[in-house]
Amino acid sequence: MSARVAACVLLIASGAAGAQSSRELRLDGGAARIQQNGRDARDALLLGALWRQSDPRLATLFSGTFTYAGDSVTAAQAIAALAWRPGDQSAWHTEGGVTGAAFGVYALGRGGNVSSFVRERLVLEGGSLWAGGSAGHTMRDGNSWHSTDVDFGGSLRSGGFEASVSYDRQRTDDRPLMEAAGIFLTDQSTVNDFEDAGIAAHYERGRLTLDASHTWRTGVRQTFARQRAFAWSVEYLLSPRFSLAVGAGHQLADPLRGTPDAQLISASVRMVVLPWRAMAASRDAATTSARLVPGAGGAVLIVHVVASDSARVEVAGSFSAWQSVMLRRTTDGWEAQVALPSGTHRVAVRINGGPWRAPANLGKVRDEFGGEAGIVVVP
Amino acid sequence: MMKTPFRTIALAAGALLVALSGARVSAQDPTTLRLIRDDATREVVRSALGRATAIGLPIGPLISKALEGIAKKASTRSIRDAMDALEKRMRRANALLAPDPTVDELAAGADALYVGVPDRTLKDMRAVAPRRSIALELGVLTELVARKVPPGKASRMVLELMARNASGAQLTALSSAVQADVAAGIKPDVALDLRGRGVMSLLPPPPSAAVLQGRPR
Repeated sequence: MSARVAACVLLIASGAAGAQSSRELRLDGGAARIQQNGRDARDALLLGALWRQSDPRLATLFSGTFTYAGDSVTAAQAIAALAWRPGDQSAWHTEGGVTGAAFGVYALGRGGNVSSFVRERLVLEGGSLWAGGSAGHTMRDGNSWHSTDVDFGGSLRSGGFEASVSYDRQRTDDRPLMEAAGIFLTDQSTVNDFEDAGIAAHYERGRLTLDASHTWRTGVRQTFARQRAFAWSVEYLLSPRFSLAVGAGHQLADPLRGTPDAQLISASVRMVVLPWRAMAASRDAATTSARLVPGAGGAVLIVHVVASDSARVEVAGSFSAWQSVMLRRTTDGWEAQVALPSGTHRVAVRINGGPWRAPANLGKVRDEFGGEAGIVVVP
Repeated sequence: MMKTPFRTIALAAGALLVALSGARVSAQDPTTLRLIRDDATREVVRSALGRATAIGLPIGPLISKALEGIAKKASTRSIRDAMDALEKRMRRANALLAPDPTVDELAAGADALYVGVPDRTLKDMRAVAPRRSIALELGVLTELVARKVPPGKASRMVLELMARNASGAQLTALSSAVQADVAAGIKPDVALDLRGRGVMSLLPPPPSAAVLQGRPR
């Protein structure tokens, strides 16, 4: 997992922070087929663990991954990252972290890498903007190489869909890694300069999560490079505890983290160890609640749901002729206020187009359609 | 055998009722039936509403049930079955809450029957309060059962509170308190015992135990 990915994971953790679960521990296990540029394809074993803890102002993440493919590609990587904001309602998020890796890469020798990153993010209604920088140091076969990077980008989200664009400008003297990736320099230069432009999309609906990204790499100054890479992944929630993920694509060489250019296809099983329902939390009624407050001519039902920033959250019931009412984003989740007249009402919520569920704290009944609804009585 | 003028009037009243029934159903067309895009489902709903209107049942709960099914992407058959079942429950509630239940009472009574409240409880509740609406009490009873309080226990508590003239606010407060206790880990029936006793301590004793003689065991 690159530091960039770690930052994304951290943001998700941060976004989901503050209510349903402030801690999560999950494990991943799977297999991959990896083909480095100019080498035979190798099968690999993938193992990973992730721990995150968050509150409304601070989220921390620790992650470890291990990739084993005999003597061709073996790597262990650890990431520590944090996201902080000065106030509960502040739109500014500061992110930072360090990564460490040990690897033995065929044809490139054994070694290690350390890198760090810092990024400032402005979170707006329906999206975010960010800018940041990274530095990396790679040791291989008794030599050391240095890389730096600046990046900026933005994202937009609507319901369960999120799209982002990014720009990266990198400089590195890791000439062996670049040449192994098919990126060359003129004789007059000792550093590679190149820029990456990327687009990415993320979509969640029910039990399904889809991700896709495309990156274009272009050499600048004395660097000759024109590459592009596409990658995708699908995660399917098998149960509140287990999910299945498959993915494939092209990973461009990353001098900041010392990882080589490679084609990948992988499949893995993810298990949430703590808490039991964490994986399904953003999609499950266990994170929902409803309460009545007195109102004119009846009461006001306040429905509150904890779900990620990109979630699409709806409430419906007998009071709305079962027409959906969208919840609005608040500082600690999603909320809707619905005026209810005196009487007995049925109410249900759903997240990202999933099943309609009763708010967790209400009395619930099985409906005649295989789902459930909550009961609310207004005096 | 009715005399001719009465027969004529009865037939005219019947015709008027049927005409008005049709008018009520078609009056739903622009507001409700247009929400149903599937022709087969729309026809099933229209037919069920027509039947209910013809026998004097309120169509509001049936419309709500149909829209719930549509929102939950249920099949036409499931929606038809759910509406038929609701119609039957409303007919039962109509008989149990006789002589003149309100629309709200019928809807609340049908909900109570759906969650497993015994028929006898509805009759007893009507006996305790023959001249006022008991829709709220039926709603609270349904809510308690939905919170996993056994129907018999919830029935006895609500009947006793009604017999002691507990107010609607006291009943809904009781249900909220049970909700809080259950969330804190207390068993629903224990929570109802505790909270019910608390409410009863504030109320005078029932005027007569006779009204509770037929309560469910």
